[in-house]
Amino acid sequence: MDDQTPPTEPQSPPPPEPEPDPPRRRLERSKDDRMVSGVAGGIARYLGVDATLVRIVLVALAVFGGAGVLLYLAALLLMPEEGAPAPTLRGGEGGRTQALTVLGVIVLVGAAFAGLAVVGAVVGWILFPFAFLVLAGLFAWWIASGERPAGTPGQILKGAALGLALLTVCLLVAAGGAWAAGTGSGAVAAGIVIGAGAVLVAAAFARPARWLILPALALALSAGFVSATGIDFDGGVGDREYKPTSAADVRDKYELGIGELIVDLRAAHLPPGDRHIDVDVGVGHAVVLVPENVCVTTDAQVGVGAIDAFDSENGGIDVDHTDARRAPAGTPRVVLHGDLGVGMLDVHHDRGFEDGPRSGWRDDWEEFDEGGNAACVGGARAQVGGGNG
Amino acid sequence: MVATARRPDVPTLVAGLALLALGGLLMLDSQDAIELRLGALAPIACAAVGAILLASGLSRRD
Repeated sequence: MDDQTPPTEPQSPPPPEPEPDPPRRRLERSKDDRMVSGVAGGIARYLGVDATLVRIVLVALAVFGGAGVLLYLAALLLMPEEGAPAPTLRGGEGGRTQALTVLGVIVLVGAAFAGLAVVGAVVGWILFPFAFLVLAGLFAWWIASGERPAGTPGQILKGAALGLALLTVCLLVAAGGAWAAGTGSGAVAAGIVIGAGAVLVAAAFARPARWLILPALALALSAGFVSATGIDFDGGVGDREYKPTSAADVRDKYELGIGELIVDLRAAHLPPGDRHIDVDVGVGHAVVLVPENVCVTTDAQVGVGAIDAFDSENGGIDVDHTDARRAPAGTPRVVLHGDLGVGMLDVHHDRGFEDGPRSGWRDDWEEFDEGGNAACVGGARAQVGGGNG
Repeated sequence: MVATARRPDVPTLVAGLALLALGGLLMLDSQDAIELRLGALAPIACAAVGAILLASGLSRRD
């Protein structure tokens, strides 16, 4: 048996395998380079630039005009997560949702630009707040759950919706706390805050409930703000104007919760001697008008706002204003005690009021106040505390 | 079998303690034991919020 193998024809080398296509660059949210959701990191990787530069551009666009908010929101919804399958435009429930999302974003962005071109600020007042609301919802959900915005557009929008719901709860709780603190139930509001704190401490050891932090904080901060500014909601809401026509009609106290309060003493014909008047406004504007023959001594506090009494003005936070004056014999004197939570107290003579708008909001009192409060003699000048006057 | 103590959730604990402090201040103010002014409350509130955010941020690093 012949073991020799027959000579074979020389074989040609195998054809070289085609080189694999270079990986296609995909615009996707970065998992590694992210501060919030990886949008800026993904764009930076796609463009080959520093992510910080992209973030600066986005923030600048958001601040100057607000376009950055829309762009960020659109990118957040359209860009897939790093490594996730590319979004599909057809087939299946997820594909339909994706397609609707893409369509919705395109319509939103198109409507934004078209609307801005046609009606300018009208659409801007609707669309931009909507975008800000969505981002605020995402931020709230991020804070409450510890979960960064991630996943499919549907999951992101779900997180935004939950965050907005949480913010709504926070607003309601804050309003309740402010109202409780401003209507004399400060102890109740404080008790609720202490109770919420105790629940959180207990929950920290048993079952963490971070979603409770934001509502509880909103309650504490709103109640604290109202208490610290001295806001008092007694007296109702709205505008009030009192024009007593005799000294007997002048009340000892005028109060209003929220709104504008005007106390016009020009026709009251006050007799010589002191007349103590309290003006108490929670949030708003108080105007006290006195005739020129009446001396006014003022002792007023404003939590946040300003006091403008004749030619003396002081504003800021925790404003204390004391202007003690003496009246000569035979001259009536109004001893005014003012207490405003947030707002402005104006004390002026009647000069100029008829020439100006009906509302007391005006900035040209000075020209009418020159030599104001001249019915007084001597006495201490205004002493102010807090504020910046 | 050795029972291990459960580790508290730090952000929730910090938030609870901050709220207890704020609530205590509000209670003292409502009883006229102190006069709470905005100039004093504002930095306290900012410190409380900052402590909560700090605790949340640090806990995410764990």
